[in-house]
Amino acid sequence: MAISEKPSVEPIRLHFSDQTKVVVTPEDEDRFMTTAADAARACEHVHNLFQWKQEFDRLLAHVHAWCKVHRDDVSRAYLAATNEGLDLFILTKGSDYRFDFDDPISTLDIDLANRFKNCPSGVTHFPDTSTEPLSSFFDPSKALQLYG
Amino acid sequence: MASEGAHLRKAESNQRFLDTISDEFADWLAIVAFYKGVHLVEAMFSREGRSSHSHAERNRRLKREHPEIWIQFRPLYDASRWFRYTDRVINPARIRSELVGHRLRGVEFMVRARLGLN
Repeated sequence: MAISEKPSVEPIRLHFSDQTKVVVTPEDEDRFMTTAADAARACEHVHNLFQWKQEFDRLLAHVHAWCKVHRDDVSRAYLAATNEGLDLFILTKGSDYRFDFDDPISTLDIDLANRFKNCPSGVTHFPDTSTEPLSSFFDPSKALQLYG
Repeated sequence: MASEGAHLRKAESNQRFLDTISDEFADWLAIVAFYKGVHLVEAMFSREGRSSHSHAERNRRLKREHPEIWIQFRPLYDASRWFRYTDRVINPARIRSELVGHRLRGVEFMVRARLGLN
């Protein structure tokens, strides 16, 4: 029996300098025309976004795990987006400001910066009291609660 | 961009103010300690030829380029934000020892060492 070989299929190549017209056919058939260069840039953008999302998800998991390790000290954790990047708020148990928790927070802060370079963040801690509204520091309705 | 000398003079001015703050205004101890730290750090950045345009930019740069200073500076930043908003009773002795005596002193020692002033 003869073995039929599949014809090799050359990959489509998109170059950033290629101005060749490309017709894109979306699932809804609403076709549009662009250039190979713009298509290449769009592919790069999606690729970067995908990588960023993966790193962001790892950041969330890392912070959650860190909070579990420090469960005796941490009551809640929130991640808020600001114009300057991501702000991670660690709320500590008890009503007093935890000077003794500054060094673990600094260690976490530097660790996050080294591990997740595409998701720059700053870490802040303060007591989880009912007297000071969280909104003095961030908008809880727009923040992700990562722990507690 | 303010000069290195201008930032150092401002830091010294902040220190003189710190020395006058009574326990009644312990929140201002934390706030002024932070701003003295800001001027010390900016004096160092001025020597390096770049000043910061925001707290976030300064924090990122400290964290990346001077992590040992950041470890002392970050608590000043955090505490100044907290004590500026809270109306809870504040222990001035803790602020004097932890922030002024420990963290701010640490920042000042390291910055002055980098500037060759120790």
